[in-house]
Formats: sequence, structure tokens, C-alpha cells
Amino acid sequence: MKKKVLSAIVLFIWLVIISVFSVLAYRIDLEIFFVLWLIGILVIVELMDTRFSLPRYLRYIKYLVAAGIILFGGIVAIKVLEILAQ
Amino acid sequence: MRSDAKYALIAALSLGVLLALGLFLSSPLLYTLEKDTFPSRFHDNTNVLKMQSLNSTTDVLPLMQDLLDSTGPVVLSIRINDIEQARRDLELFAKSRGSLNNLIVKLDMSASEMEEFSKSKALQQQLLTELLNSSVSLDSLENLEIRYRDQNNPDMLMSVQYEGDALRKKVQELYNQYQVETGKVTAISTKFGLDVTEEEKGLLEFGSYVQEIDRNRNQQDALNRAIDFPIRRSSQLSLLLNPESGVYGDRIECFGYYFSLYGYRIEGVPGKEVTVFLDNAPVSSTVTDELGSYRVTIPIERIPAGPHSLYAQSGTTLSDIQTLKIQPVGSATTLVVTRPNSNGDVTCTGSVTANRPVRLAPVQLVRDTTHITEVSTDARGQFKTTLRLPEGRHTIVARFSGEGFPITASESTPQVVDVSIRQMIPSVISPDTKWEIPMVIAGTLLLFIGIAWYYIRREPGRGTFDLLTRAEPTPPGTPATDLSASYVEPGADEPRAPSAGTPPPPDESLLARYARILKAEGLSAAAWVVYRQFAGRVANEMFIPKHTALTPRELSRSCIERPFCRAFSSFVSTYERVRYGGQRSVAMQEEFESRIHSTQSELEKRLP
Repeated sequence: MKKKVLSAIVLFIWLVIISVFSVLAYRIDLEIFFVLWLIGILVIVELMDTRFSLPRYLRYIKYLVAAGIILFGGIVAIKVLEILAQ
Repeated sequence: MRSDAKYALIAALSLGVLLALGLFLSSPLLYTLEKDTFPSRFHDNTNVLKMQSLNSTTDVLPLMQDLLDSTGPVVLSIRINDIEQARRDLELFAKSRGSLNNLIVKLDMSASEMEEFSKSKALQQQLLTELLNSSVSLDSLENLEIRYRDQNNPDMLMSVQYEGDALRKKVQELYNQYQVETGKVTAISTKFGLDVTEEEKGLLEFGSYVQEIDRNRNQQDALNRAIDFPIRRSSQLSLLLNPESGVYGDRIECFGYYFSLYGYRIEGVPGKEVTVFLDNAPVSSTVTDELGSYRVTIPIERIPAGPHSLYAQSGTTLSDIQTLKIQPVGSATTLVVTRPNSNGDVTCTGSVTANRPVRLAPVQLVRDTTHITEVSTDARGQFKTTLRLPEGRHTIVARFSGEGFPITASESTPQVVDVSIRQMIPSVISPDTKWEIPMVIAGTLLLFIGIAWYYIRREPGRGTFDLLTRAEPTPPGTPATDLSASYVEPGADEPRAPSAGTPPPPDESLLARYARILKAEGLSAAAWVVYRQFAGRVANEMFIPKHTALTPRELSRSCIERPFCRAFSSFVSTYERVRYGGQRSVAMQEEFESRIHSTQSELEKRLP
């Protein structure tokens, strides 16, 4: 099976697991969902990355992950604001 | 299955899951109370059970009824003087109250009426315990009174009577408080539809008991008046008080003379030890001076309000009994609680003042009406202690009971402390400074943008800080990545050259290097070295990452819109013929060398 297909399936399973546990815990938090998605995709990209070449799809996924990291920074900044507001 | 179909299936499933999640976002319930019926208790939703418990009072009401029925028997047992039974009833009452408190905590019931009920019951328990102790003390005093009356000892009799009066007054106060608390309990219980007969009966019994002890006191007074006590005390020791009444903090001066009769003369006796007694307990001692006079000062501190007997004694000689009246004064208790530190510790400071600071007064720090910490005021009437609080919101009150002091009870205003994990994080930035907040936000965002940049630029298999420590920019003429140092192209002979002979000098020019390798290994190896050199420079100029993964033609196609691209393209074309086409004639060598010159001159124009 191609790495590309395998990674998509693994990410899908990971998201299903997160969703099921969120529903079972009666706590659907978009921030937690996003952070767990980011962790999942970081691990998957790290495992499928190559040393000497950079396929186009992997480059685009890396751009997506970088955007996710910046968004995560935004979440952290909002949390810092909440702490300071108290 | 075709790959497009696979992607379509995954996308459809993902959309389905997200849609299903979206339906539950507003109320994420697996079961609903209204629609679902559960086949067995194992299917019950625990959250729904919790809600049901909270909404019903079926668990609480029986316990409340038990508590209501417990107070009457306690008072009745005290009234009929069955102390042991009263103790047992009181223990049962305490047990029931503990169960109710546990249930309230377990069910997370924060209704104000329930809290009020629990608080009133706690106060009732305290009042009944004090009533029981007072009842026991009153019995002992009555026995003592009978004994001293039989012994014709008016001094001790008076002292015992004063103590009895103080106790009766205390019982009357207890009754007043009990009446208030019973009123609250009855009102709440009636609202819940509980039977309050026993509760009201208990209050009536309490009232009857107060009347009985007052009646007994009046009877004994009449009896005491009927008895004529013989005066058998010598009048050789006098005692005067100044003033005869006071409040907390006042100082009472006690003075007098020790004298003897010599015929018709009265003479003071010096050097006699005189002890002053307050309620039969020695409080001060001194020695008469050369005139036979003595003087002691008694501060009014831990002496209950009311009348107290005071007399002086020297050997077997007693003075007249004087009465010292102490008036009660009001008090004020203050409390200041600091913000919790990283461990959840708070410092509680405060003071107790009556008309002046109250020294060595016991103060209770009550947290959330359940946890009590005892502290004591210092000589300035102030107290200070540190409490460790668990996470959550807490209410702390400082309470001074006034027990044993001629001071009424008081408590501070409740202080609310919020101990949360967020507050336990040590704050390095003061939130009062407005300009620091945007700085923190900008710093956080910059940090994560840097992480994102590093993530895109980093190469797999490298150390974490290799990218950051690499020398930037790459010097002209060297490959854009460091792979050239270790990477050996299949079939290339060039890396063998340094191992075979002496290493090339660091400042060797491209042409000199080309000539050296051409001589040692032939045109193919020399062409590869020149290509690598040019490829590195072009990749560096065009910002092409991982150019070593590209073929010469791919690299040549990537080079666009630059003046040196045409020359580089011609060079690559000739290079392919030499390297892969196997054309290594003298004419081809001359053509290749002319391409080298033209490309190098174009690159040097661009990159001097």
C-alpha cells in the first residue's frame, strides 16, 4: 500500500478514535480536537518523511502542519490572555 | 479498488463522522431521559442518575426527619437529669448530622436552604453539648452549696452561688440561641413537609428546664436568708476595691490593712503575706509594708462577665468578701487573606479588639464551615497563620467565641479565596502593566511562527539544531546542501581521488580542479565535479532545496528567468553527452570546456 494512502487511513482512524472518546466523555472541545489532530499528523508526517527527496504532496502537508503550528500558537496566546485576565 | 475510489470513500466516511459530531455538539447525550427506556439498570446513564438524585430529595428527607426527631430526647434527658442517656442521644444526633453532611457533599447539593438547615443543626448540636456540660456543672454546684450551708461557711457559699448565677445566665443565653435556630429549622422543615413535633417539643422542654433552674435558685435564696450565719471571721484584714466594676482591659486595684488590736490601740502588722482570691482561686500575692498595708492590681482579662467574689487571706485570717462586677463589651474580629502561592498556601492575618486589643484570645479560622484551625492572638491582639488550601473556591471566616472572656463573640467578614491551577502557575508578568500583554502575545506567536519555519526548512534525519547552526548563506561555488560531502553518486570516480592521493588544496580554482581530475581519472569524473559545482551555485541562487535529488535536466528546467540559465542549459546538454552518452573525444572535450567557460562567466556576472 502506498504511503500516501496509508497515512490518510491512519489519520482517519486517529480522528475517529478522538471523536468516539470525546463523545463518550461528554466533552466535545474543538481546541482539544485540533491539538490531537495536530499531534497525529505530526507523527504521521515524521514517519512517512523521506531523506533525499520531497514529494509534492508531502510538501503541501508540511505547509498544512506549519499552519497548524501557528494556529496552535494562537490558542496558546489566547490561553495566556485568559490567565492574565484573572 | 482504484485509488480515486478509496479517497472518495475515506472522504465520505470523514464527512459522515463530522456530521454526526455536529448533531451532538449542542447536547452531547448518548441517552435521553425522555425518550429512552432502559432494559436493565446496567444500561442506566450515570449522568442521568446524578441529575435524578439532584432533582429529588428522597435520599435526604429521611435523614432530615431523623435529625428533627433527635433533639427532643436530648433536652428531655437533660431535664430529667439522666446525663448518660443525654450523652447517648447526643452521639446519635451527631451521627445523623454527619450522614446528612456526607449526603449533601456526595450529591453536590448547594441549595441555600439545605446549607442553612445543616448549619442550624450544627449550632443546635453545639448548644446542646454546652447545655449538657452546664447541667452537670450546675448539679455539682448545688451539691457544694448544700455542703457549705451545712458547714456554715458563708464565704464559700457565696462564691458557689456566684458561679451558679453565671451558669444559669449562660443556660438562658443558650436557650435564646436555641430558640432562634429551632425557628430556622422548623421553617425549612415545614417547607419540605416534614414533621416538626419533636423539634418543637425539644424547645418546650428546654424552656421548662430554664424555668426550673431559676425556680430552684429562688428557693435556695429563700433558704439562705432563713439561716443566720454566725460571724466567726476576724476583722484583722481589710479589703477594698477600686473600682468595684470594670470591663475587659481595666485594672482593679485591691488594697487593705492587716492590723491587730493591742488593748485600745490598733497597729498594722508588717511583713505578712497576703493572697487575694477571685472566685476561690488565688490571683495575686503580696507582703504587707511597714504600716501593714498591701496593694495588688488585678487586670480584667480572662474572667467571664458577671459578679465575682473577691477576698484576701493571710494565714487563717480572712477579709470581708467583696463583689467585683465585670460588664461584657462587644468585640470586632478582622481577617485578611493573601493570594495563594504556587503551593496553595495563604497567609491569614487579623486581630481581635474589644475596647482594646484582646490578648491571648483563641480564634477559630473556619474554612468552608467544615475545617477549623485554632490560632491565638499575641500581646497586640493580632494573629497570623498559614493555611494550605486544596484547589477550588474557599470561604474563610475568623471566629472569636468570647468564651471565658467578658467579651461578646464576633466573627470577621467572610473572605473568598480562589485556588486554581492557573493561579498556581508562577506569574512572571504583572497583569497590571498593559503594554506587556501585547508583548507576551506577540512573543508567543513569534515563537510558534519560528517553530513552523523550522519545521518546513528542516530535513529529515538531521540533528535538531543542525539547521540552526549551519553557516548561512552558503559560500558561492559550494553546493547548497552539505550532502555533497558524503553523497557518492553511483558510478562516480571523484570521491576516490582524495582517498587515493593528496587532498585538494582548499583555495583550488574550479578549472585547476577540473584539470587535476581530468588528468587523474578522465573526462567523465572531471565533468561530474564541474557539474556539481555549478549545480550547487544554481540551486543556491534559485532557492531549490534538495537539488541533489534532481537530475541535471530537471535542474536545468528549474532554472528559469535568470541570465545564466541559458548558458547552464547548454552546459547540462553537453554534460549529459559526456557523462551519460559516453562521448569523450577531443572535440567534445573542447566543447565541454568552452561551456564551462561561458557558464562560469555568466554565473560570475550574477554571482561575483
